[in-house]
Amino acid sequence: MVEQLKNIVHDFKIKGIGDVLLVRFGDGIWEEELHRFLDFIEKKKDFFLEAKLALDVGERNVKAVQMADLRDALAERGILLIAIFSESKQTKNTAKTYGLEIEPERIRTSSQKKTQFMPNGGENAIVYPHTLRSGVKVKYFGSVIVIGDVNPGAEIEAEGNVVVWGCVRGSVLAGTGGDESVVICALELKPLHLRIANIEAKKSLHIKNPVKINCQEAELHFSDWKQ
Amino acid sequence: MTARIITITSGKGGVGKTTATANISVALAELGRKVTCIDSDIGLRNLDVVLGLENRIVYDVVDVIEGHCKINQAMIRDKRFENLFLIPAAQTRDKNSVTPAEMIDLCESIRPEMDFILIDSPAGIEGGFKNAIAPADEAIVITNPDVSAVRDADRIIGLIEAAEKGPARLILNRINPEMIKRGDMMEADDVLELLAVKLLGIIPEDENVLVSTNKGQPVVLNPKSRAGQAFKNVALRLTGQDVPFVDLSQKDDFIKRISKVFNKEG
Repeated sequence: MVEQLKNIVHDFKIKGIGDVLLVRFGDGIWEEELHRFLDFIEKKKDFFLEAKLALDVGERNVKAVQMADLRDALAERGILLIAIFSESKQTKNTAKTYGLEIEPERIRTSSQKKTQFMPNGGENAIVYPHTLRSGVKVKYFGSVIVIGDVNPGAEIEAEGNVVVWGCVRGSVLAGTGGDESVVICALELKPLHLRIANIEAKKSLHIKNPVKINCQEAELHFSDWKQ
Repeated sequence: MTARIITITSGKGGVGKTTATANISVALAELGRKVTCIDSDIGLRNLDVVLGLENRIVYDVVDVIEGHCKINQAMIRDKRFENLFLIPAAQTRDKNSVTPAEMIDLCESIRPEMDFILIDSPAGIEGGFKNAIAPADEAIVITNPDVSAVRDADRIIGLIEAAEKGPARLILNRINPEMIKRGDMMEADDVLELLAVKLLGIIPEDENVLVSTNKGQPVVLNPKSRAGQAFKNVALRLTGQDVPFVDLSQKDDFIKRISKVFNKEG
């Protein structure tokens, strides 16, 4: 890993803190820096695959939409964004909204303790604190949590669990890697398409109460989703 | 004076963006506000027709942006309302003739002189939409209560939020109470629950809209039109007034009562 880091340090300032990669963005235009970084990741796919990433953006004001795009772009490439460090108050607030860590010290402490640092309590998870509207596609190697609805035309493909604190009206696929032990939870279900691993839910499903779905004997099992 | 710049958009075509832009503009002008409406549907202009101003076009929005004329030369003053202006779209050019930055510059140049600038967005989510939304302070999404229009509205609301122009407000157009009663049309509550945005207006289905459009006389000028009244209410809400929503069941009850009388007499 040290040798690999030496080879790429010329393109971006990258530092390893425990199992977290800390990347320092340059001071150029955000879109250009992001584009350059994503190109760079494409060239070093194996190195970055399933990496946990902390990003230092300096004094930049990163807007909510820019941060969401960054996180989604990284998630599509199998990278979990866990922290954004910045001197900008706006950027820090936005990062907090997205459930990201903003204090470098916490990353260092957690790696020194040799505990696995995760933003959502011990599991690879990505949180969307808003409704997923039509046209939005979330593809992630861990679990996906949505605080809002999944509207018709929105799609979630997660290798892990999917938890929706709202109504699922769109498409939700959990355990896309074939894992039948994952679950889908939602407050209401009226999905266009719902699947765990390779097991499909029947069409015209409508459950108005909080529901938890898992696989039992190659069939989907629906039960009350209790606290 | 500094204008609020409001983009009226939908995603799906044919749901009433241009009709809404024309009627809300006229209603705001009737309320004494100074209004410019801009047709940003380059290549497919229509707003001039709905306003009955198509014969008065000399310059258009692309002429202004390319420096062929000053912006005042492209602003057509409506003879019915001296405080209503139209900047028409070019009919012989395409969406690539304008950039978002140019639209921002254009709107900002007249912002100090106006109370409202209403931008009629083209259908779709590509360049034309981006041009229309770029200068906006606020966005109004218009939809019909059908599944495909609502899904496109949902998509466009997401794009408006992503462009940090939200939260958008919603106009539900062409509501037909009879169809809702029969279960053939989505109910307003269902649409609102799905889209989760604030309602700005409910416009009932009204054949006067088509008649007025063909004559180039916006339906708000017809005092008997329920759609016209609903558009006036939208304008009032935009000016900050608290106006109750039109009770769409009234007309049907009235018709039923009349029908009963005739049936008894018959």
